[in-house]
Amino acid sequence: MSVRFPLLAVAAAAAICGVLAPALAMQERTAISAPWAVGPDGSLMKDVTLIIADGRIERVLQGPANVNVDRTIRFETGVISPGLIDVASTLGVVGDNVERKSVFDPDASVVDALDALSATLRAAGQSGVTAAMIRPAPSGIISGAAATVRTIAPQGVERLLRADGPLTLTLGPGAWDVDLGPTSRAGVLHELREAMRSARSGGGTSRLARMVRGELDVLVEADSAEDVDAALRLFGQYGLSPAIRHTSDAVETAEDLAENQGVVIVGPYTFSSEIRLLAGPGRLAQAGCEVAFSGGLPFLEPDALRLSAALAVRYGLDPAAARRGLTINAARAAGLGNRVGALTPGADADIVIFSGDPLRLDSSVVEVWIAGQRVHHASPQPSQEEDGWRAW
Amino acid sequence: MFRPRMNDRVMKSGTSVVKACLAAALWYSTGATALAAEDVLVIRGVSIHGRFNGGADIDKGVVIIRDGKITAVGGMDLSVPRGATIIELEGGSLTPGLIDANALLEPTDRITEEARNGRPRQPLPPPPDFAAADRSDDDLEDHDHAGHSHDAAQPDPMGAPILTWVETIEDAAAFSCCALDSCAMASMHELMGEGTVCPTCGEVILSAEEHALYASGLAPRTSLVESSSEVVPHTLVIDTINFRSPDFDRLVRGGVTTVFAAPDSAAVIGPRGAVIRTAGPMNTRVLNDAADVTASFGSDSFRVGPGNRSPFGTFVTRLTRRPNSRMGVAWVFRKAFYDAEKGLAGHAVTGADAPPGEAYEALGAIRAGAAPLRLKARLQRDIEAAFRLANELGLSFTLVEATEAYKCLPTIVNGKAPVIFGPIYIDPNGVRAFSEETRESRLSTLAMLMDAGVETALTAMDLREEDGLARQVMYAMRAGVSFESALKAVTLTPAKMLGVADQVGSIEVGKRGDVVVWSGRPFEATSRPVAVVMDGKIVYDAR
Repeated sequence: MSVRFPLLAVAAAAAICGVLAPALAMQERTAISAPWAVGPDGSLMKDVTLIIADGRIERVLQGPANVNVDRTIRFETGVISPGLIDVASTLGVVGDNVERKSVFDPDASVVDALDALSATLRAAGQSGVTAAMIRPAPSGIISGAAATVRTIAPQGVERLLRADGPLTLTLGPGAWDVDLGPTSRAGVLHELREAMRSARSGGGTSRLARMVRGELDVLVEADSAEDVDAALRLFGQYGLSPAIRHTSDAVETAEDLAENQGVVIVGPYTFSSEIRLLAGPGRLAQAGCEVAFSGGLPFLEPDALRLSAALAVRYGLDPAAARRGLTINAARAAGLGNRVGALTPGADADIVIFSGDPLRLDSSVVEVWIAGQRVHHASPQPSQEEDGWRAW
Repeated sequence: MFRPRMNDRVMKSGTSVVKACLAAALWYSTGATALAAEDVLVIRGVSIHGRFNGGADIDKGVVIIRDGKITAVGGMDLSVPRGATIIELEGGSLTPGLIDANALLEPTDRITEEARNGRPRQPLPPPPDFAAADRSDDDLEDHDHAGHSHDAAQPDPMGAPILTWVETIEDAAAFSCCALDSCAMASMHELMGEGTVCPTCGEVILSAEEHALYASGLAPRTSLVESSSEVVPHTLVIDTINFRSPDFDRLVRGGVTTVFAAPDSAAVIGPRGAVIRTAGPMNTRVLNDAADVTASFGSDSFRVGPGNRSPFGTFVTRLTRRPNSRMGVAWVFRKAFYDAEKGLAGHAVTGADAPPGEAYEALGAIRAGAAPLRLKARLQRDIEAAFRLANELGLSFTLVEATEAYKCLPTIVNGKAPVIFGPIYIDPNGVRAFSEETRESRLSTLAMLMDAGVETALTAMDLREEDGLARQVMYAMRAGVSFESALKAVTLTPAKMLGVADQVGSIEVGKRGDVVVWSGRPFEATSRPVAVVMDGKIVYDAR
């Protein structure tokens, strides 16, 4: 009896410590240093040390640093990058991701279709994509609100970065090919114009009313140049700057898109994409747009996001803009520019250590950290269990 | 309102300040003139036509365009500011930029879309020199029907790029025989197969029918009009326009600077058109995004676009509706206006084929004369039907197309409707090629309308290049219309009809600098536009 009590006490203490271990770990201050890092403007910075505390980046130091931390991790080679963010994807969404009852469905939320345990999420995370802005399918005019999720979320770390936006709109055949309402571009634009007009005069707290007042950000999927022109005209009238996803006529609409302040989302690009499409991001950046990449996950392999960026660089985009397109611009398109996407003090510590420049296809993922915890460590020989993509 | 009184001391210092400012202004004004001259474009040494109210044509004169507006028109003695850009062309002429009052713009959602994929773009070769072909003394066998020698030197594909990129099939076809004949592999084109790309000249090989069809633009049954109802005046044509379409490049090359973008005739009461400019920065392109509504009489509304189904023997869909015949067209037209009146008065609207509620406002405005209406009709019986229904409903309108106007001239004259006539043709082409109803056109119809005193504008609709608006004027002149009347029909008259006569339509001081410089006399077979200027900027240069 007297022996059992201390044993029980020790067991209880161990259990409590076990439960609190992650919390304790987060309260540690960790320094991660590497010879290179991706800066907030997309350029590569030398000799960077990140101080991480409480799941966030506390400081970013360059050069030799002497800091008081509990743990120091030093990479002899490699590049620290903010976790890559895929936008306008359907990663982790199970089943149908749009409700086809009406062309206007602003109250739907794609987060209701999320399967957080999906293997595709984990596989994306292991490829360096730490967050994904998922959205309802581009079908109907307003298909619902997008959401941003972390691909890997250890215990105690929130999976959902954002649940209620941006609101997804579609202009193009997806909006009128459904047998529900308008049958043409003219009909779609008429309906949208009227809906926005009555939302403005009616007021209220509906998502459409909040969007029209500028309180809810918007993602517009524009299929061709006419759709881009229509979106710029219509949203310009309301003083709104939506994020616009447009790839096919980007070379021609670059100047007009530059006048809009929103992020332009392009992609995905593959080795078989037309040159005219691949030249798009370069022209957009030349005209002054900020570009973000859509990786086509999970229909393409997880590395497709980095491949899109690399091909864009090959056809004229400057590398710093491409790195921004994988990180901070994608975060801005998702409405989370202050929280993830850059190695800046106060941002969440969702980082990836690549073996080289993330734009190089011969760079691999070395480690993935989410909220200051290491969640993936690539083994030198990829194994069946580690490579979640093949397991799927 | 309240002006403080200044005492003497302040007055003195104030006066010296004013003197200093005046001196500075004088000092800088000469320099300022030199700076402002950079925005000045001068066209001289050409004959000037199309002044209309501004004066008579000038045999050899000068037009000065400053900051996008015409500031002076006169003889060769007019002084030219220093530092101005000068276009000087011996034997050339100048007209206002042409205005097409009813242009059918080429849509991008077209049947040949799939042929675009993967095709590299090419710069446009320079247009052929017709005058050179005419001057040479050649055997007939060495020429094709357009008078081009088969031995003519192959145009340098990298030479004189005008507007940068050629789109795909449409441009290849629109540039038609010249480009294909001048390819070194021209004789092999037929063997290469339709849809393939010739490795030598880069053109897409078309079948003869496709060639004729796409050379004139719009594919026959494609419709961009909203088809959820036959009455859609609440929608806008501007939402369907691709402002970067190569069709605008073709229009500019043909000298057309402003158009009314008209819808196709798939709906009985169609969308509102737009008045747009064919080139320039995007924020200057749209002059009116919601202009006239076009309603179509005749068989077009049940021939073009998705077909309407009768409710018998098949399941009911949105397309189970009228019209399927001319009787149905008139019925839908009448019902739209009656139902709109009922709906606007607050009564419930019932019955099949009721127009959508969103259309009531536009229909009511048309009825009240507040919104302009166009009625499109080709055959004599459709023209008569248009006047009859408009009379019944008390509508004022502009008649469009009016191919068989010569058969019912008194109706048109007594109806006092202006007419937008065109195009002029013998064999129906373009969108008319697939209708059995367009076989009885006459070349002299436009002359008859004008002689009867009807206010008439001329349109080329979907035709471009050698069938485009400039050539339409040539056909009109050949068939009896005077040069001045024909020029007016493509400049001042359409400008008035579109409500932009204060900005464009004639060479008058104060109007926008939209001019076309021709290589010879305008609208002659051997003459072509060599420079097109819009808002004082050269948008097409083929000198």
